[in-house]
Amino acid sequence: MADLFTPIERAIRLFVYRHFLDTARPPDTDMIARDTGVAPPEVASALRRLADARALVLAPASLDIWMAHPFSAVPTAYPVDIQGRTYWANCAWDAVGVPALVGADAGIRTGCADCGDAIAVDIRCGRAESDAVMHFAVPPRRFWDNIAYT
Amino acid sequence: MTVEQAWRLAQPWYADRLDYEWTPRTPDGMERLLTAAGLTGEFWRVR
Repeated sequence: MADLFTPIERAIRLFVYRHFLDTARPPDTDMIARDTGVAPPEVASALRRLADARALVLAPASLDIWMAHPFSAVPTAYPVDIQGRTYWANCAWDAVGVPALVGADAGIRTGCADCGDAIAVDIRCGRAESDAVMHFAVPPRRFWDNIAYT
Repeated sequence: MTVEQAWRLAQPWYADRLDYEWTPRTPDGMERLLTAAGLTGEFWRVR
């Protein structure tokens, strides 16, 4: 079976994720081109192809990386603190996804989207500590209808 | 879902994002993970 992604697309996807992991920020296209050695037009094509395949989310009409799930490029209501670095998660679900990906203890401090009450989630020694529940307004089969809303 | 369920699901869901060979999960793959986390029923169907 043909590979879904080319080696260039795979390398770029991985670079984006590693950059998020190391800095809590997305790389821009100049950084991607410089680090991967891929020419800018090919970087652009690869980013669009990765976005089409839902491996990344680009900001509208842009090559700026908006999401590399579970990471958000922009501040959200779901900050995840790991060893003094704050990662932004896209949603409550992604907030536990960040320590799952990083493989480290984490503190998540957010608020209930309904009532505003503070919610604390701690991941310690591989266990989640919280009394909270997550309400999903959108079922999984509709997540990508509008990933920004989800 | 409870936070514990989300955490149980998040590990297999996200642990391989740093793999060079990662590809988006198929609907079957997603449903297997959701079911393993105890998330069954109409709402959790991915198709």
